[in-house]
Amino acid sequence: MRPVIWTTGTLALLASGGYVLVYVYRWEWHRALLVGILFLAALVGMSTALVLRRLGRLERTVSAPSRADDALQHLRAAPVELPRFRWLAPHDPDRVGVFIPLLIGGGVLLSGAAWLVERVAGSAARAGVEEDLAGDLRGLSFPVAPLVPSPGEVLAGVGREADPGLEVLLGPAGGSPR
Amino acid sequence: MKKLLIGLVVVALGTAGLLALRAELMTVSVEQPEGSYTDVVVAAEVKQEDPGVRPEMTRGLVSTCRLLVNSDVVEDSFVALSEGVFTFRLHPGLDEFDRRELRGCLSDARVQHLQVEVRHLETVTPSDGQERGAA
Repeated sequence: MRPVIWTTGTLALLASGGYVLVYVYRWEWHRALLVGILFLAALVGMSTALVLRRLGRLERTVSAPSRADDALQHLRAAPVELPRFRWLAPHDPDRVGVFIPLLIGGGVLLSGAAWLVERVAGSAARAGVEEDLAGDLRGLSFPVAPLVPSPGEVLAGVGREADPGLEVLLGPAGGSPR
Repeated sequence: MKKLLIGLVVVALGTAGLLALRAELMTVSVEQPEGSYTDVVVAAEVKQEDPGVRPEMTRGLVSTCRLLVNSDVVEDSFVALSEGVFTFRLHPGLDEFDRRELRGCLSDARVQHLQVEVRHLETVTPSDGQERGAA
């Protein structure tokens, strides 16, 4: 229906405007005036219709939900995110915070357990280790007899025969028992 | 570019139309020779009126329109040629611009319920009369 109205209005506007010129061209002033009134009426009507149509578009645009409103609705419809770190939240005087005591207590317990493990492991490993170490050090132990004869023994020449190195150590100063 | 061409065409057509309109609506007075006259034949038709008043309405229209041009209706020249067809003579003769104006005035809807069609409108100068007489 609207296209028919718009077409009719446009044709009326063009025809009346054209006939105004034609009648003026023919010196038919009364006809030109009458058709000119029709032209003006059609012009006012078409202009009003155009303005109303544009206003209607604007009104629909304004009344339609905007994109910002859509985004806001999406945000509001989204599930609420739970606070993952409650202790970071502002302190609530009505609630008693137990995180720090639990943390300290847990630390104490873990330290005790670690001390106990260390003690058990130390006591279990010490016996074997010390025995192996004693066995290894046995070869490195000092001889029962002194490495150097005492001065009396040196003078007596005891043990020189058994230790040629001692002879070299003492040198000519040690004298020869011979 | 397309809009520019359309605009140029519109401007050209508008200018041509205005020039044509100006040429047609010129009211330059051209002096006519002494003794010239203009013969007019019109066919009148009335609507929603008694046909008996048609001559009177036509006469009134002629009297009105001759005021627009600088000419008078020759006395007793308004006669009916046939049913609804009348003729009259104007003196002095009308130039081209006055003829346009008179034709427009007679064809215009000046008198309610009266429709006049100009069938003949010609200015005759003495030289034209001599030529016709010789012919």
